[in-house]
Amino acid sequence: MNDQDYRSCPSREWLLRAAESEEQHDSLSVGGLASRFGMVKVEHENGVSVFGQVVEFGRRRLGLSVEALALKAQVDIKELVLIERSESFEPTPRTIFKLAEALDIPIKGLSQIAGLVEKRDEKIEEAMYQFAARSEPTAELTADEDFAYNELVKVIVQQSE
Amino acid sequence: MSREAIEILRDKEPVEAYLHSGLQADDLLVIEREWATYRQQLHHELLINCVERSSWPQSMHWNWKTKAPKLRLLAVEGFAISHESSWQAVVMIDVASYVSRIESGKPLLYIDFIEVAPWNWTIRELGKKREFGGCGKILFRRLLKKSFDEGFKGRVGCHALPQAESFYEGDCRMQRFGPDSKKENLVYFELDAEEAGVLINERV
Repeated sequence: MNDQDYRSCPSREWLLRAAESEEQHDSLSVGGLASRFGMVKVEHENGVSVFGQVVEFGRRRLGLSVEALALKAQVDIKELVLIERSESFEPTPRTIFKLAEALDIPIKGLSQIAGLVEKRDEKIEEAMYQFAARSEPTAELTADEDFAYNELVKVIVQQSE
Repeated sequence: MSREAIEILRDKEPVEAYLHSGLQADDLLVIEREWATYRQQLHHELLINCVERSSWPQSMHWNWKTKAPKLRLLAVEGFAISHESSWQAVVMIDVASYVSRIESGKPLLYIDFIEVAPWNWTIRELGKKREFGGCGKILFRRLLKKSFDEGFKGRVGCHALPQAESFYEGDCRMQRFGPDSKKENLVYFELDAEEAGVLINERV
C-alpha cells in the first residue's frame, strides 16, 4: 500500500466496527514496557503501604475516625481513605505535611516513609520494616501495635532532630 | 511531532481527533500526568464499591512518574490520539530490538506499550463504558503502516496484559505464543505478514 492510499481511519463503517469490537474487551493494554520496570504484577490483596499503616495507627491512637482526622488535618477524606487502604496511592506533599502536623510526627521522617524523599535514612528504613512485620490491621490498636508504632515514631523523632 | 486529522467515536457519533506521530519517552510522562487525577478518582470508586481486585484494570497501579529517569533513556518512539486538548490513547514502539518468532530472526515492530485514557476503560463492575471508541484499532492500524514502512512487511509483536489478550488474539488476528518468563509471564502475541496484509487493506 502506498502513502496516498493509506488512511489511519479508512471509513466511518470501519470505525464503527472497530469501536464495537473494542467494547467487547476489558482492556487494550500492552505490558512490555511495564515489565521492563517490574510493574506488571498487581498489588497483593488488601495491600497497604507502611505509610498508610502509620497514618491509620496514628489516627486510631488519637481515637479519631477517618472523617475526624481528615477534618483535623484539613485533607480530603477520599485521599485519606486511599492512603490507609491502598498500597499504590501517592499522597501529595501537602497532605503528608498536614498529616504530620495532625499526628504530631516530624515531617522529615514521614516524608521518607511516604516515599517523597528518594534516599531514606537507614535507621528509619530498618524501623519501617520492623513496624510492618509487627503490625496487623485490626479494629483496635493492640498493645503490640502500640509498641510497634511507638518504636517507629521514636526512631523518626531521633533521626529528624 | 506531526499529526493527521482522524475521527473517533463518542456515543457512536464521530468526533474530530488527531493522530500524532513522533512522540518520545518524555511525552508518555506528560500524558500519564494528565490521566493521573482521573485514575485516582477511579481508584477511589473501585475501593468504595468494594470491587474485587481481580476485576480492577490491570494497569491501574502503573506509576511512570517514579520511573521517569530510566524511561527517558529508552529508545522508543510513539503515536497518540488527542481529542480537543485531551489525550485519548498512546502507544510506544521499538523497531530495533526484537525479532519475529513466526519468521525466525526477521525484524518486527514491537509494541512496548499501549494504554488508553482511564475514561476509555471498560469497568463492568462500575457500569463504565469507554467514552471514546476506536482508538485502539486506529493505533494498531497505524502501527501496521509503520511496520510496512520499516520494511517489516507488517510483522508486529507484543506482550498483552491478561485482560487485553482477547483483543490482540481476536480483533488484531495475532498468534498466541503463551506466557513469556522474561516478561513477567505475560503472553506474547505476534502478527504475521499475511494477516497484516489483510488488515491494512480493510476499508469497512
